[in-house]
Amino acid sequence: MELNEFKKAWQKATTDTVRQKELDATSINELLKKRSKGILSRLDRSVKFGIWFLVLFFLLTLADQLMPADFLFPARWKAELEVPMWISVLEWFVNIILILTILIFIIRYRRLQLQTLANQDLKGAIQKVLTLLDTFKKEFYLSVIILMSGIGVGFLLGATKGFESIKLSETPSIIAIVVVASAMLVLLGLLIGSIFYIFHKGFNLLFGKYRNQLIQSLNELQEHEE
Amino acid sequence: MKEDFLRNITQNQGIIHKVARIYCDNEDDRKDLFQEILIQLWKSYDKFREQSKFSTWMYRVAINTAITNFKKDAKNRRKSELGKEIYLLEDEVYDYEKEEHLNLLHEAITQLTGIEKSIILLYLEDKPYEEISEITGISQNYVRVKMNRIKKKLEYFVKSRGRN
Repeated sequence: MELNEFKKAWQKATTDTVRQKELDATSINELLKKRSKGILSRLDRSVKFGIWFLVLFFLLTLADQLMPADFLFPARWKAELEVPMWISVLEWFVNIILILTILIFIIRYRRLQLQTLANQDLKGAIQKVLTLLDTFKKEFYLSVIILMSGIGVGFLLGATKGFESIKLSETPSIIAIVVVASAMLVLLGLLIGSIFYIFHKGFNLLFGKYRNQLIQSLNELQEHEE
Repeated sequence: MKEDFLRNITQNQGIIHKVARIYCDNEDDRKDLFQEILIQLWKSYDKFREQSKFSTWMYRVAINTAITNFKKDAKNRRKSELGKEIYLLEDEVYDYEKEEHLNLLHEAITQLTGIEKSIILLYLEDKPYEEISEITGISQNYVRVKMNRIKKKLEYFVKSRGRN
């Protein structure tokens, strides 16, 4: 069978399909308003959801720092929990880093959004989606880092206050302190490691295959130029 | 602007149907891809500068979307098998020989990669190499190389099916 025969069969079949499935302007407009199930739209929605999540998390942290204690929770809680200066400084340092990271992330994402699929050829379009995926991955990890920072500061505060509150009849030996501290650090490490692993696996499960397909297509396009 | 867009798209919607048809094996996926292409076209419409033909611009966005929107998984493969049956039912109006050619064409196209599908689609639509190159962004020379490979692939497929 020759390609010309294929061509004739194709043209006949598609002419009939187009005639059968033709939509009017109103139906096309309706489709534009509907939520798309396409991977590009879903990816875009996920990234935007992530940005809102980060902003909300930051606003809550800010509210916790700046609002009067009795506005968010009973004032006695804060009075009872005297946070050492070095932990407050650490907390603010983490917050400033977070604000900067979120801002950089939003600027980068907006810039990426400005390049629509029509402004570039196929190679550029694939590269754009790969960058979008990597941006999403970074956002994923940023969320983990935020979570870890929160856990880390909380852990330090808990450990310090806990140690101060213990009234022991005799001072514990250095070995006991080292053993307990090491065990706690190992536990914290395991927790952080597990969360990172779950996020990493989750991302690969959702987008790993898709990312590989895009890389394969990109390699196919670049094959000749190399 | 939206009225302009809707008018242009309504007139040229055949392009989206054809792209959806070549990239998807079942009706649900075709509908999803059709909608995603529409969304991408609308997002890009204000950037359309009329430096190229409207149809060329539409092919470019549609193919870019089809390739970057493609996520092949086990669920899709199961659907693909079902899709072949739907395809046969849809085309039963053709005479035996045409239907035979069409089924063979469909099966042959499923053997191609996403990039090859875009090139064969434009070839089947009678686009010159120059326009294929403009749409896909690869050099005309490479389009020729790819086209030769696709022809060989299709010939091999037809021969392996025992039909000449």
